[in-house]
Amino acid sequence: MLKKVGQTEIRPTHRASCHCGAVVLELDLPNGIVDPRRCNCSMCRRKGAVVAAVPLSGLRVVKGADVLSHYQFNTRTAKHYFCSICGIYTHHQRRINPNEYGVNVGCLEGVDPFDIPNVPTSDGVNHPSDRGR
Amino acid sequence: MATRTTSLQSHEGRCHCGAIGFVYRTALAPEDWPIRACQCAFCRLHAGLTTSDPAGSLLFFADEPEALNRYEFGLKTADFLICRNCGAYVGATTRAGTTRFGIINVRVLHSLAGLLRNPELMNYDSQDASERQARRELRWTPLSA
Repeated sequence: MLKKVGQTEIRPTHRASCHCGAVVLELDLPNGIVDPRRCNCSMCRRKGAVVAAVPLSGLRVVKGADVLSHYQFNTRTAKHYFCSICGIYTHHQRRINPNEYGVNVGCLEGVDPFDIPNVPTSDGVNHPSDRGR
Repeated sequence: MATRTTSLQSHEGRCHCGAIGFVYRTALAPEDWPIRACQCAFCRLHAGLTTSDPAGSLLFFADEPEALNRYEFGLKTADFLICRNCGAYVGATTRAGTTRFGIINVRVLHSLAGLLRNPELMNYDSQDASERQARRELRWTPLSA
């Protein structure tokens, strides 16, 4: 977990926003940025985002709920939310744990994901929920 | 030194849901494509990795026209093409006189992912509108009709 990225301290309640500013989230991050990673699935390859984990109760849409779109594919378990104006992916409800959101770390106020060293990449092509089938 | 084949090769890219995309034609081999990671806030949030070839050609298409979202911001000198269904950023266009130019986001060409160069970080913050347009006219790909 990361309590500081570059010069930015991760606050226990930290704001996040899309590019155009229409969508603003409030995130509970008492332990900082937890488990930041990339993923190589067909969706994440296009997004290229660094994603961190937040429980469902730790994310509130404080502005722009009406402009948030969501996209589902394949098993349609995960819900991928993005701003309908600027297209920025803000968060998604996870397939592997629907009680958790993945959040776009680049949306966090003051956080530059390029300042996070050695971000691991999940093998989303062979999703854990598909293995053993 | 970039390798040019004798003929243009076509590369079709689409957003995740397939509603919008492009056909990019270039004689450059993928391993010789310039790959740029613009450091503006928009490109960073979309993690955009773009390329272009002034000697190539580019066509954007929308199988579902209502899915094509043209987003502009800042100096409003370019349109950034985003799918309304799945949110993917596929490329951008600008106009110079009667000619239109574009770039593609190579993230939607993932069959080439292992071939492409490491991105060069670009920062255009200090450029004004006319400097940006001059750069794009030199560097971006002409759009075909």
